[in-house]
Amino acid sequence: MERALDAKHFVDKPKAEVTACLQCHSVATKCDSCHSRHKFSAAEARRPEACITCHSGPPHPDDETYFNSAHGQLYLKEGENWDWSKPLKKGNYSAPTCAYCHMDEGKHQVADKSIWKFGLKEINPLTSGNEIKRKKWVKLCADCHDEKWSAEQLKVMDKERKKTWEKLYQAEKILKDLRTRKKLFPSVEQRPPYPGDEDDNLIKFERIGFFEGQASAFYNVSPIERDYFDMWYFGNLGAYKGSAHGDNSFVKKWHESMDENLKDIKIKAEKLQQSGKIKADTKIIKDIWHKGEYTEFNRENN
Amino acid sequence: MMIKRFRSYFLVCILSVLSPLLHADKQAIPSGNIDNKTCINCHGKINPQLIKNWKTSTHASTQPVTDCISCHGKIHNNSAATARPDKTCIACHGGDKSPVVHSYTSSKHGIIMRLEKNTYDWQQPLAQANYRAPGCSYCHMHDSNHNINSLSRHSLMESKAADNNETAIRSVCQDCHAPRYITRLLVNGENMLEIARKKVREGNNLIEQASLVFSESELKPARQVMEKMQHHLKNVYLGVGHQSPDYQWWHGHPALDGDLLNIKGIISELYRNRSE
Repeated sequence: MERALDAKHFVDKPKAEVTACLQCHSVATKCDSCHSRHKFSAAEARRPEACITCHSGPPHPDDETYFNSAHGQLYLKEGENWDWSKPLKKGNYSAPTCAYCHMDEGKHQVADKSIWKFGLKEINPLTSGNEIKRKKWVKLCADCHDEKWSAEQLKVMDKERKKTWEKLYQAEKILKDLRTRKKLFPSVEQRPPYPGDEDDNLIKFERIGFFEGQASAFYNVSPIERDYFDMWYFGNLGAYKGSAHGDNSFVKKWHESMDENLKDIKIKAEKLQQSGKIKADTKIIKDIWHKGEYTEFNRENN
Repeated sequence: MMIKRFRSYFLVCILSVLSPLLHADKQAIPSGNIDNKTCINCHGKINPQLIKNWKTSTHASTQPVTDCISCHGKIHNNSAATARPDKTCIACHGGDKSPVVHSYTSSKHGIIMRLEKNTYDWQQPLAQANYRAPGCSYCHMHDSNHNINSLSRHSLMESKAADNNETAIRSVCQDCHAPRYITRLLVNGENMLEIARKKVREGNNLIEQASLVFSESELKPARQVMEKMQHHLKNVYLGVGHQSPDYQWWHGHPALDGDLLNIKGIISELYRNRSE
C-alpha cells in the first residue's frame, strides 16, 4: 500500500481532487517515474532532476535545498560533464546527488538511513537503531569528507531539529490550552467533522499534534489551527530539508517564518482567550462552516 | 531513347528558367541585423497564416510588443533554432521561479528537457514527436502555430466549454500519447479545476452574503484572502496544464482550503462580535 493513500484526507476528499496525489504516490509500484519512457535509463534516474517532480514544493523542498547547497552548486556547474553511466560509488562523482546518498550503490530502498524520517514527529536521534544509521551516514560522507567532521554535521542537524520542536511544542501547548478552555472558534461542534470522524465519532475533539492526526487538519479547522498546520508542515519541514541538505539560508528563512507563525498564534490565542460566550445566533456560524458549494460537494462526493 | 533524351533536355530547361528565381530567393534572405518590418514584409508573402496567427496572439499586443526579433533575434541565420528552446520564453515569463515556468520545469516533461536539451537538434520542426520531451514551444507553438494562445484558457472561472480548445490540445498531445490516456488526463484535469472553482465560488458567495450585513472596511481582510484564492486557482490550472503534481496539490488545493477557512474565520468572527 502506498503511504498517504490511506490518509484520512485522501479518503475524505472528492476523488477528482486527490487524483493529484496519485502521480507521486504510485512510485512504489512503478519504475518509469524515474526511469522515464522510452529510455528506461539508469543514467537519467541518477540525475537529481529525476527526483524533483515529486520532491519539490512546500513540505519537501528537496530540490531547492539540494541545488542551493555546496553539493548542488557543484552539480549545477559541472554535472553536465560527468559520466552518469557510472555506479553511485566512491570516486565516480565529484559531488553527491540525491541518489548518491539516498540510493548508494544502486539500493532502491531510499529511506533506510533516514534518522528523522519525514520530520513530522520528534524522534530520539540517539536510539541504538539510529546510532547504526548514523554510522552508515558517516561512512558514506567519508567517501569525500573527514569522518569526525561528518559526525559533527549530523549533530548540528539534531540541534536544529531540537530547536524546531521547541517552537512547535510552544504552539501546540497554546492550542491545547485553548481547546481545554473551549476557546477554539469555531469549535469542533460548530464545524464539519474531522475526516473519518463521521464513522467513528464517539469522541469529537480538535486534532492538535502529530499523534492526534494533525496531518489531515488543513481544512474544516479554525484559522489558528491551520496556522499551526502551516508552521508544522511547511516551516518545520522547510527547515528540516535545509538542515539535512546543507542549505543554511533555507534553515534561517524557515526558522524566521516559524517565529513569525508563533507570534501570530500567540496574538490570535490572546484574542480567543478573551472572547466571551457567543451570543450570536449559533445557526449563522454553523451555516458558514457547513454550507457552501465546495463544502457540501465534499460531504456528498467523497 | 528519344523520349528519355527529351526528358532530360526538358529538365535542364526548367532548371535554367527556375534558377534565377531560386537565386533571387536566396539573395532575398537579408544578412546582418534585421528589424521586425523586414521579417513581416517577406514572411507575410511566404506564410501569411503565420503572421496572421501572431497578430491574433497576445504577443502582438504586449507592451512593448513581443515581435519576431524578440524571440528569433536580429540575425536571420538559424533564427528558428534560436527561438525554440525554453530559455527564450522563460526570459519574459517571469524567470525560473514564476509559477508558469516552475510548474513546467518541475514537471516530467520539463525535467527530461533540462537533461536532454543540449542533445536535441533544434532545427527540427515542433511536431511529430521530433523531441523526446516537449519544451514550451513544442506545445504552445505546435507546428509553428504562432498563436501562442491556442491551448490556453481565457477565463479560469469558466468551464472548458467556453474555450473550445480541446481539439488543439489533443492534436499536440497525440504526437506522443495515446488518445485514451489524453482523454483521461483532460477529464481528470477539468474535474480537478472545477473543484478548485467550487472553492473560489464558495469564498466569493460568503463575502457577498456578508456584504449585506457588514461594511467594506470590515470585509477588507476577507477580500484580501480572495485575491490569494485567484493565485491558487491559477496554480491548479498551471498544475493541470503542465502536469505538475506539486502545483495541482501543494500550491493549489490545500492552499485554497486554507484561504476558504480563513474567509470563514474572518466572517464568523464578525458575526460573533456583532452580537456581543
